[in-house]
Amino acid sequence: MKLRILIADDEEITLKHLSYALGKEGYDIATANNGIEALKKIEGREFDLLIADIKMPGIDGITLLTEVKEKYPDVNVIIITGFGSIESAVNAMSKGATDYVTKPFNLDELTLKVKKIEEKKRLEKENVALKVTLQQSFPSSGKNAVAGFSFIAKSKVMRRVTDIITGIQNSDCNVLITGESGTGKGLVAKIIHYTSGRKELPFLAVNCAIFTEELLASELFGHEKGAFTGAVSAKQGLLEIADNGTLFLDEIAEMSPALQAKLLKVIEDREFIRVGGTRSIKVDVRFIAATNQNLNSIISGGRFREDLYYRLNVMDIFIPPLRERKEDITPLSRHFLEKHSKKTNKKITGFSEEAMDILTSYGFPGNVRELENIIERAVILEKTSLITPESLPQSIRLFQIETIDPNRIKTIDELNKDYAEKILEYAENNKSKAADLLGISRTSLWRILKK
Amino acid sequence: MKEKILFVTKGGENTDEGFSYVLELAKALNSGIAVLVVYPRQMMTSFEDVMSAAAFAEAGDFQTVRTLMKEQETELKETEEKKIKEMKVKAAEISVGLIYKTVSGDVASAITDYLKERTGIEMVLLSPNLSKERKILDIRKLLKNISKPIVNITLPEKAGA
Repeated sequence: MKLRILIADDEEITLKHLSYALGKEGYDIATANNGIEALKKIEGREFDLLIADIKMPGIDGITLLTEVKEKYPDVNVIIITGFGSIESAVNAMSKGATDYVTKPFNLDELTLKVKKIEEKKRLEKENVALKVTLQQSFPSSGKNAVAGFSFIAKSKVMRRVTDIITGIQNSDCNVLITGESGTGKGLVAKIIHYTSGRKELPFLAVNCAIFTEELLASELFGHEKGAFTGAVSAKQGLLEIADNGTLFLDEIAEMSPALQAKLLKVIEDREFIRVGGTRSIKVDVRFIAATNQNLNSIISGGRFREDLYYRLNVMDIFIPPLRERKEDITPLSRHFLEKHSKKTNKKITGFSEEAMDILTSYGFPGNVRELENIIERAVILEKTSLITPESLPQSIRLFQIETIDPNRIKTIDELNKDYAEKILEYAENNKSKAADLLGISRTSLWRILKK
Repeated sequence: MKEKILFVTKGGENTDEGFSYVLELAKALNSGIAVLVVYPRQMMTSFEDVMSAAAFAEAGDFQTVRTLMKEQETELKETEEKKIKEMKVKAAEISVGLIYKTVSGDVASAITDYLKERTGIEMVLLSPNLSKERKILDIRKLLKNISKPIVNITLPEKAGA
């Protein structure tokens, strides 16, 4: 995290000297020749630290300090006081300065003070991120996000998913995860983050479906004091807290078009403005988004921006439904049995053959979430050392359940039409050429396209 | 509690067929249930009623036909209200939210229209009273117009039937 420092001093040589020295330490430096210029710069963009000389034309260092602390309390301030001026140093500290140095100051001493502020800022950010993480829970598990997780992927289709996750370990690309409800999109998002270079940095999640547009905007972008009724103080949004980390946007298709436009700007420009604010804040956030909806049909219906889709979909991961990876049902069932037996202190060691047959032949429209719920319930009800059919829900034994996914099924006519359209595009809309390539007459081509 | 599950059922005596499964699934997914009760175009389901109505219509006594149809409609409505009440009670017992809507007409169109109203629905569950009636529900039409998974709930065929 590069500390953003503004140096305000009317002495050109001090400005150049400090700029050079602190710039060499890797900090992001801006300068101002006087207090008014400094205030303008702070209003225009975000800074972590202001180093200001106490004596400046226009507004002096103390007035600048007071203004800054009132409007931007998160900005740390180091005041450069005159030789022997302890009184002004004490005055500065009482007005909210983080530290002070007296002229002539030792550059190493100042650099050390800056490093301390940098460390303090890092810890503050980690603390906020940890608090937010602890407060969150994933709908897919209902558990605290910092709890451990296991990923069962024995089936061939799921090994493709793990291959992709392994393949993007060293990448920072945005990811779009799709799949039916309950397939584990949140879990995959966590795994992507915790196997990436950002694993030591925050992983935060937000479910776009549970907030109104206004609340989601405030949650993501934060707000300034007085931005709306009830905004009694400024608040950092998830984008700021997740800076250098990962932000997981669950149910992204539920985001309003207005917020989609703002999110696109953040992804493209890597900066944003808080609700009710004027300053742009730079962030470096990796985005992982998820949806159980068919985004292509929502895009063609005008409810989701195509440009945002392409920005999020740099890498896409589709998690197949559980019914398409039945080989995973047995190991998943065993995993959940172990997990919930431990929790309830019950000694249930496995499944009867009949019970496992019922589970492996059931379609699980609710996918892995449903399976876990069934096992959790069975552990509570079971009185023997094996899960028996009687502990499984009666309805899955009573009814035959068949799930059809319209997105995966096309009629022969539809497949023919799709292919004919592709060839027509290849033939640059020349129907005679397309018909030739397909080995059919123009009339036949016309009939296929008309269907 | 957000309604993620849409349970579609035919109005009448077996409106709640398959509902016990829907309840368990809703509980497992921490979801509310939206119930869509559809009365297919043919309001008259009993052969005797249809024949009686036809006979009166032939004789030009349209008033009696209207009365017969109205009576059946009232009977169906009362049955529906009773069934919905029972379903609500069962849902409330396990803290699952339930909302419902009644429509009449083409089933596939009714489902498509409802899903446009409620975009939060994640899957469509068809009662056995619809799954087995291919004439009432055109699955092909439904598949063309929706993008949510469709779950057919059916009762196994009885042995020897």
